[in-house]
This record gives sequence, structure tokens and C-alpha cells, in this order.
Amino acid sequence: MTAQGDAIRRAVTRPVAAISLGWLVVISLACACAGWLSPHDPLAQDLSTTLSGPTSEYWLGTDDLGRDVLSRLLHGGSGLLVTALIPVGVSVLIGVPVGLLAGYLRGPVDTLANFAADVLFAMPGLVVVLAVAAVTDNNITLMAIVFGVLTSGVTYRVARNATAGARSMPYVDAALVSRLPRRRILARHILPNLAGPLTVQTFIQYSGTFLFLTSLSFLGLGFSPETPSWGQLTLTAAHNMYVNPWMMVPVGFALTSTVLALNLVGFAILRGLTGHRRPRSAPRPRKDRRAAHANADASPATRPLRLADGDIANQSALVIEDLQIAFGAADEALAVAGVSLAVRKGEAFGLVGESGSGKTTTALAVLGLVPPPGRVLAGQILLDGQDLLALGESGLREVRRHKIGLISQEPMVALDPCFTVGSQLRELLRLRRGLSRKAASRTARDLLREVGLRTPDVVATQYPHQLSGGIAQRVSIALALSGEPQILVADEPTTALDVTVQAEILDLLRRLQSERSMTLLLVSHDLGVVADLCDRVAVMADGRIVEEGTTEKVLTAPEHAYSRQLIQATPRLNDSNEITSLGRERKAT
Amino acid sequence: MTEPLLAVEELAVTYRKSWRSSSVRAVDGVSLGLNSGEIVGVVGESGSGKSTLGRALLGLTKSTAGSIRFGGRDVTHERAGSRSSGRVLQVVFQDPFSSLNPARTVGSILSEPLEMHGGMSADAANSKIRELLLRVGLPADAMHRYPSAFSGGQRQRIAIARAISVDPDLVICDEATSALDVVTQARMLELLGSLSAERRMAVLFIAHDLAVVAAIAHRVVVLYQGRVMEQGPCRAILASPLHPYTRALELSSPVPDPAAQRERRRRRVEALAASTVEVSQEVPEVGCPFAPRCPEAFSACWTSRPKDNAVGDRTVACHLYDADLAPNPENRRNETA
Repeated sequence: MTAQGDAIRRAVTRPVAAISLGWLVVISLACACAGWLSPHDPLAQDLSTTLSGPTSEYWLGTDDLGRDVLSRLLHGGSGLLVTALIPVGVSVLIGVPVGLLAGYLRGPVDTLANFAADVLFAMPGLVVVLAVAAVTDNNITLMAIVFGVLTSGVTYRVARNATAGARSMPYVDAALVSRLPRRRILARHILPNLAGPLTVQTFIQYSGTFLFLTSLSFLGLGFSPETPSWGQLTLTAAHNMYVNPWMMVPVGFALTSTVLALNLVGFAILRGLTGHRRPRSAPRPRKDRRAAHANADASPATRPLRLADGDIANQSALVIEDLQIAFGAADEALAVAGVSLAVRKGEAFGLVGESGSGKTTTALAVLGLVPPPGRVLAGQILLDGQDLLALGESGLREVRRHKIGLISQEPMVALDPCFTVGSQLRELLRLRRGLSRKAASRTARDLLREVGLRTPDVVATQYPHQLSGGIAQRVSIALALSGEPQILVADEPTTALDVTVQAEILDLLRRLQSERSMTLLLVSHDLGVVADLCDRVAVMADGRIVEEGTTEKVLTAPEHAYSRQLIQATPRLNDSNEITSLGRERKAT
Repeated sequence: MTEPLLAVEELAVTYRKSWRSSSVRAVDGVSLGLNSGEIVGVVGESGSGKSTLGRALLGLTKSTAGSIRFGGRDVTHERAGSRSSGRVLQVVFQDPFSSLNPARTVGSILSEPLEMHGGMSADAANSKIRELLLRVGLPADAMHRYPSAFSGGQRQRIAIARAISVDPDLVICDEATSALDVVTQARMLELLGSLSAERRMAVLFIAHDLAVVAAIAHRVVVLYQGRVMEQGPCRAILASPLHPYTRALELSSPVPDPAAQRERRRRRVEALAASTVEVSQEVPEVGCPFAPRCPEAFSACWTSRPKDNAVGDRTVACHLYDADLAPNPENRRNETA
């Protein structure tokens, strides 16, 4: 089945939802079979035992006229459960077609339908239904229909938004180009997208209607006074609260448990659809790592110590040793499977590979920022001889504050949209360097100038959304420099930028690196970017480093077959036949 | 000479974000032609209007001026589907995830265009789908699986299979390989190139990366802010880009060879010493959109719109190649190197 269907099925089979669903089935069946199941006639009065508690004769007690509460509950439930379907059905019948049309056609149809929905929202539902009750002499069906029309605005909104979302999917565009008629596009590509949100909406609306109808009969409206109804039972129970408080128990339980179950099922489906599931119970990272460490100590053979020993460690700004990171279960492949590397002080080190090679995860581990559910299983990360993996969160925060700066792929994500560039930078400077207000604003201006902004004062007063991609990336570099880090970790810093801007950012990184004699760890999929900036490079594939060496050597005389393949596949401008020749070579072999 | 398969004249697409704001010209007077079997690359940076151009050609976005002739018919005002009533038009989108409906099997995705073009029996359609899957390098049993079972590269192969299923005369590829890893991208380009050659299928290949376009296209159209800066044969443009913008684009694209890249960097710094970081001046309303960033801009660039100057077998929209306007005749680069 579809992924959506699977998600819903998974969601409703979780314990809470399954119990709720089970309860709904039980109560619907019981009410449907009220005629056979109920031990007494719901209307039969036994004036000798009025307002009794549970007895062997009357399991749930009797009401003020000596009628059996259980029988009245069962008979009253069937009418309520069926009548509550009417408003839901009406609002689906109105809301879905109109929502489909408005979301698909947009323009004036959409505007008009939205206006109509707004009008419906503005109507006081209860007052209108009371008016209908007065005019139609308490006709419950008509009242339910009117209530359905009044609530159809919500269904319309849900249908319209789901349609509009699906309408802009490229697969709908592809179907349009393929001359698929409109009704088939709607049926095939758009309606399935509505199924999930509408199911949720229907459940929620059904439980709302359920309560609304009960409230009506509590007021003596809707269901005729002769027939039993849950609202009337509640009213009777409320009247005799002091004489026989017991009666409220079965009545209240039936009502709240049913509404609660409806809401829980609806919520479970919603969670299944939007993926708000609790992450699989992964062991907490730090504990896990200690265990792994213990294992590694027990068997030293599995833990090569070639890098940390001797001179390399002294010359290195950053040493990573046998780093292992896993995301999934224990038996799944490791995202980083034993990476060891040493970045020398003041050099630019490139980590290249395709998506999923583990290059970004490796770099984020240096900052202690492996995204959950990822966890470090083993290894060491030495920054100036200090093992970062042994540090607690506060120690890591200190390292991030003063020793390592991060530049991410999306500059906009690094910037807070609510504050101006200047205030964000000043805040960081005061925090990280302990500067006074005045000194911070002077240093902020200097930093913005240093990252190549010619009008630092103008940029400082701007909000992130006012910046172009290139300027935003320059600002985020300035933010990364605010703690005067020894190492700058740049994760695909130019991937989201245009090539002309990319070249400028690369120039800037090169200049900053030499001026500040900073160490740079660059993560990139683009060999051209690495060739432009890096002294040494490591090629990663499937969580391992397959080749490492000077950029010159790895890019011009690669030893590993994978590096060769990567280099050959990279399109380049000075030889436009590169790719077709690769194709021929592949066919020949 | 016969009429080209696709002839676009002075096409414009204007957007208006709200009824009060002034309109944005996403595509601004683009003219280009495409012959059968030809691969034309459209290259431009973000905001250059390249994707809007593609959507306008497909009929997914309304064009506000100009004309589109496809297969000898004026299709400017026709909707997406009806453009294919004579010659067949198809598309491959950038995102291999959202371009395939996750709720339908690969077989049903591939049969969609088939059922609309010529009634085919279920058996014939099935064997056609099998053949298509094999052609794009996927196993035939892929038709029973859902898109979620495939990687990005494989999904893009499915999208290509869907596009070629109806033997299109023209396929518009909108950043079709941008979301892929380089090795996958290389295979995809090779596949598109060979499909185009064996079926005489024209391809309009839209991309932001000049190097990728260079690997596949016969001709290149360079877009900047909705206008064509330069167009002509791919090799000639790469060997000696004439427009200052094309030159900037060419020199900015890094090559995976440190020595060569150092040399390119030196040339770029020399050529574009004056490139601005912040756009200090608004893009001129009447002049050349590249003027604020152009190291060679002169007064005319701000006051009059460059016309398409023919230089050899290409056109360059730059005043430097306009005999009447160029400030210094010696500076004029009239010969193609």
C-alpha cells in the first residue's frame, strides 16, 4: 500500500490508539445491538426502585422514574452515534468538492470560496441551530444538517489546503504536460493526498458533533423527550446529584470515554501522517560511547593508535582517530566507520565524497553536533591534545565558543531572522570575548569589513531576510569568527551559492585563513572547490577514507579507483568531451 | 531553411507579487530556436529566469508577451497538455522525489503518458514499459515497486523513462541533474545524450552549472536576470566567452585540478578586479542588467538596452560589440579567438 496508508496503519496499532479504536468498536456494536443486549425496556418504569445504585437487577442503577440506566444508555447511544454522522457527512459533501475546486483552480473561485468559509466561521452555530429548532418544531435531522453546513468551512479549509499543496507538486505538472485530463489528475494525483488530513478532520469533527448533540438534548432540544438520549441522562443525573451521585458515573464515563477515544484515534492518525513519532528508543549517546570505550580498552588491537602518538599530534590542530558513528540499529551499516585523519595547524584540509559518504557527520562530530539519533560509538577527536568526546556538554560549549567556528551550507539557517545582523554579532562578541557594548560594536564593524563587506554599517542594520545569499554567507563567516577560533569547520559553504558568488567566498576563506593562520576543515562534494582551497584532501566513501594526500596528488594522480571515478565524473570546462569519454570507457569495460 | 522545431520570439513572463507591488520581469524578451536532435543548454544563476522560461515553454506558466512556435504551430496561448497535440513535448524536473507520485507504482507512473498518447492495449503498454526501464538502465521488475524503493539517481532514470515513453520531439530538462551526485550525474548526462542522438530528440537542458551544460549541449544560451546575454555554439562560447557575464561565469567555475585552478583564479582576479560585493546600484531600468557588476561597464550601459549583436555565429547582448556604441574601437573584441 501507499506510504500514507502504512503510516496510518502503524499509528492506529500503537497501544493507546488501538485501545481507543477497540473501545469505539465495542460501544458502536453494543449500541447497534441495543434491542438484544439491553436487559430491560428503556422506557419501562419501576417506581419501587427509583434512583438506585447498581444492583443485580439493574446493573448500572436506575433513574428518577426507576428506568434501567444501562438500557437507556445503549438505546440512547445508537441514536446519537448515527445522528452525529449527519453533520459530518454534510460538511464533507460540501467542503471536499468546493475545496478541491478552489485549491486546484485558485484565482477568483478560491477567493470566493474562502470568503464563504469566513462567513460560515463568523456565524454563531448554537444560536442558528436553536433558531432552526424553534422554526422546525425540534426536527433533529434538519438541525443536524444545518449544523453540518455551518461546520463545512473547516472541512473546506482542510481539503483546499491539501489540494493546493498537491497541485504544486512537480508530478502534477508532469501529468499536465502529458495531457492527462483534469478529472483524472484530480482523482489520481490529488484526492489521495486529501485522504489523510480529511480522515483526521472527520474524526475530530465527529467527536465535536457528538458533544454538540449531547449538549442540545441536555437543553431538552433535538432528540424527542420520549426516546432516551445521553444528554437527557446527563440532565437527570445532574438534577439528582445530591440524592444519587452514582448515576453520573456510568453516564459520564460513557460520554467522556467515547469522545476521548474519538479524539485519541484522530490524533494518532494525525501523528502517523505528519511523522511526529517519538524517535526509536536509541540509547543515550554518552553512555553508549563509554561502553564502547570500555570495549576498546579491553581489546587494544581494535584501536589503532598511530596518529596520536609522536610528532604528528604536536603538529596537528585536529586529530580524529578511528571515529565510528551509527544512526540506525546496531546491525545497520555505520555512517562513519573508523575514520582517522590529522589536520595540521594552519592548513586547509578537504573532506570530499558523495552524499551519504559520512563526510558531514564526521565534521559535525568535531563540534559534538551529530544530529540525533546518531551516536558516536568509538574513537577519539583530539583538539590540541584534548579529547572532545570525553567532554561534557558545558565543556563542548566552551570549545565551540572559543576554539571552533562553524560555517554551514545554508547561511540563512545560521542567522536568527528576528534580529539584525549587527545585534547578533555584537551579542556573540560580548559573550565570547567579554567585550563592552561599545567595543563590541566597534569590533563587529571591523569583522564585517574583514569579511569583505564594504558598507558594514548598512549591513549591520539589516535583517537576515534582506541579505542576498552571498552577503548572508559573509555575515555567517563573521559570526563564526567572533570567538577567534583556531579551527574553522566549513560544511559545504558554497553549495547553495551561485558560481560567481562562490568564487568570491572561496577567495575570502583563503584570505582569512592565511591572515589569521587558521586551520580550515572544508567539507565539500565539489572537487573544484577543494582544488581551489585545500592543501590536503581525504576522499570518503561509505563512511571510510579511501584515499588521503596532498590535493595535487589526489586530484591529478589518484591511486584509489573510487577517487579516479569521482574525478572523471566531475564535469570540467577545459575539456567538454570528458563525460562522453567516460561513458565510452564504461561501456568498453 | 525549414522552420526549427521550437522557435521562441521575444518571450516575456511578468509576475506581480501583490496587486500593489510593481511587476517583476522573470523572463524579459528571450528569443531562441531549437532544431530536431539538438541539445541546447540554458545556463544562468539563481534568479536568471531559467526555470520560469522552462515552465513558460511547457505551458505551466502564462507568458505575457512574445510567441512560442512548436512544430510549426503557434502554441503561445495553449495550455500545458494541448501543446503536444502535434509534436510531443515532455519534461524532466529537478527533484527526483517530488516529481514522482509516491502513491503509485513505477509501472503506473510510466503508463500515464502512454494512455493519453494513442490507445495501447495493456499487454503492449506493459512490454513498452519493460523496454523503457531496460533502456534507462533499471530492471524490468521495477515496474511493480513504488518510487520510495529507489535512490535519487534511479528515480531520475524513472522520470527520464516517463518523458521518453511517448517518443517526444522535445524534452525540457529543468536542472535535471542538479540534485544528483557527480558520478550519477555523469551517467545521466550520458544517457540523455545517447537518447537524444538515437531518437533525434531535441533537449532543452536548463542548469546553473556551465560545466554541466558544456558536457552535453551543442549550443548554449546564457541568461542573466531574464535576458539572453550570449548565445551560440557551445565550443566557441567556452573557448572565448565574449560577454563580460559569460566570462565571469566561465572563470568562476572551479576545475578539479589545483594547478589549473590556480591559473584560472589568477585570470579571474585580473579580469574581474572591479567586481562588487554589495550591489551598490539598482539594476538599471533601461540599460544592461549586468552593468552594476560589470568590470567594463560604460555610460551607455546604464542608459540603453544592449541589442543582440551578431558576432560570428553567435549573438552577444553587450554594447562592447555594438559598432556604434563601443567606447574604444581597439577594445572591441570583434574576432572570435
